[in-house]
Amino acid sequence: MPAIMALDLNLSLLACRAAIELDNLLLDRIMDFKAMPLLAETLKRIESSTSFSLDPGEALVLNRAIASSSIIAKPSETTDQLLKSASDIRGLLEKVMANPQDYKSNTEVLINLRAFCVELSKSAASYNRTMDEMEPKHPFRR
Amino acid sequence: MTVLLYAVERIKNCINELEAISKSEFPYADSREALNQLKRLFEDQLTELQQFDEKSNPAVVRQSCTISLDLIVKYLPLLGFILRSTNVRNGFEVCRPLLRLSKTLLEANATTSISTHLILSSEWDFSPFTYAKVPALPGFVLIGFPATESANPLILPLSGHEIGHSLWIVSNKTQKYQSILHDNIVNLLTQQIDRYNELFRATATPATITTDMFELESWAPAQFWVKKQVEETFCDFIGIRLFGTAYLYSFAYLIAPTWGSARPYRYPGQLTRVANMKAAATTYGVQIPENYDSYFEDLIPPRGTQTDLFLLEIADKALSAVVQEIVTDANADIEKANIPLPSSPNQQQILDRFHKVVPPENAESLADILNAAWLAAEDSTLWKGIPMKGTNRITILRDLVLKTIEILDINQTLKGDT
Repeated sequence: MPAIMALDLNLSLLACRAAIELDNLLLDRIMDFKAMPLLAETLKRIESSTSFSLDPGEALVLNRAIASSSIIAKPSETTDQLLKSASDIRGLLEKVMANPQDYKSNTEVLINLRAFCVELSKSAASYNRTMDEMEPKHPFRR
Repeated sequence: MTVLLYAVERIKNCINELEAISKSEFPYADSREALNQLKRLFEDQLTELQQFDEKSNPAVVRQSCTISLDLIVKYLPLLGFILRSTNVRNGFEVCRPLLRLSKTLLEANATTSISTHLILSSEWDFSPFTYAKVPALPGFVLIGFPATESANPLILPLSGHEIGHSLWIVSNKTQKYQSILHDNIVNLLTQQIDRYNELFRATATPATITTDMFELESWAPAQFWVKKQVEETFCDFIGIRLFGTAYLYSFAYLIAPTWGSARPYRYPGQLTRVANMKAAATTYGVQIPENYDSYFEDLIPPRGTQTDLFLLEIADKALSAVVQEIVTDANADIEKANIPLPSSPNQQQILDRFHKVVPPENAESLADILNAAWLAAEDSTLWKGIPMKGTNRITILRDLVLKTIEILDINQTLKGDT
């Protein structure tokens, strides 16, 4: 496993690799899951927050991904709902990892999870970029 | 698939460049090790891109292409940084003593087993504060001094700040401060709920400020900025605790009185930063240069909307509430590594030799050498009676300091500290 995968600093890369694993599963090419367990672990860590102590950055990244992918019927309006959604998505990921063969005939779950992972990858990248862009740059640089 | 082909080509070009750079002559192994790790990163990315075919999901392919481009954007400047580590403008004498110091501090505090590496290079930006967090290079301390200063050992204490960033990561400080900063921000917002509602045209209550996703989105930047500010403050304190007064001098040398840029959100205001450093120095028993405040002016106020500035104000206040805790935390980490404060008697012995224009052969630490160097640099009577025809005294002092560090390195190596 590349060193970068060992860290959760790069959620964008991790989510993208999880999307690739789900796509490979749909194409019947899956070998083993490396990114999906780490993503499930990340979601579990977020779930361990209370609805009052959720990191707002993580919450936004996750909620935007949920909203864009439609994996859950509607985006969360409260942190309680978001924590429940994170738990549901992690549960799905874990079920898929435990019994991948069960989902060969039920591809909708895999398609939704794949879409969520792609959106999570985009959402994580864009959040950090947005915050970084507020910093002043060199006056000659555009 | 055109976009995919472009992405593959771009990554291949990066790997080619990495291979070309690897053929350079590196003075220390760590630069080459970094290149090897980055090459593996790009090779993994290439493998990932090459596994796609016409059956692959287009959204997944496109996102992977985006990620691959993002990697190039982020890592290409780092390749230049590593390449410049071969340049003879760098003070190679300091590499191993700095690595030993980093290793002692990081490995005593890391939450998981790490192997410490150090790359000393030069930057064509007038700031030493670069490459703080490189996910693909865990355990690497990357110190890049401005190219015009890279042979100047007097700014070496600033490396303490960079080592601080690595310490922040390996000891998982973000996690440590997460909860307290969150609580501070929420308390401050609750106290100013009317102002918050007015600025954001919201109807938040103290109960909904933490539970309503819409409100979270509004104040999330405050949490983001205070985390950065706490990290930068921690790194300043590590620099002070490692290098004492010399850190304060080198900090002033680099950025006093101010520069013509707006205040970055991720740093405390310049005068606040100086006040915090003075507070830390006082706690650690580090002597503060006389009239230190007078060296500095504040930066241009930060740009931003009213809501941005309100959130920055909240972040600033949340930082001030934890400054004393950061002072204690930085000290505890250094004590855990058994690194002593710079010692005045040792500095004096070194300074006495500097007065004779002779490098001492038994200096005990980098910090003592650099503090003696600053005492000499600040002494306007240094070598007054010694004729130095056509040679700048400060140039001689720099050479003398570098030679002293080289002797320190030899002594440490002879003691078996490789």
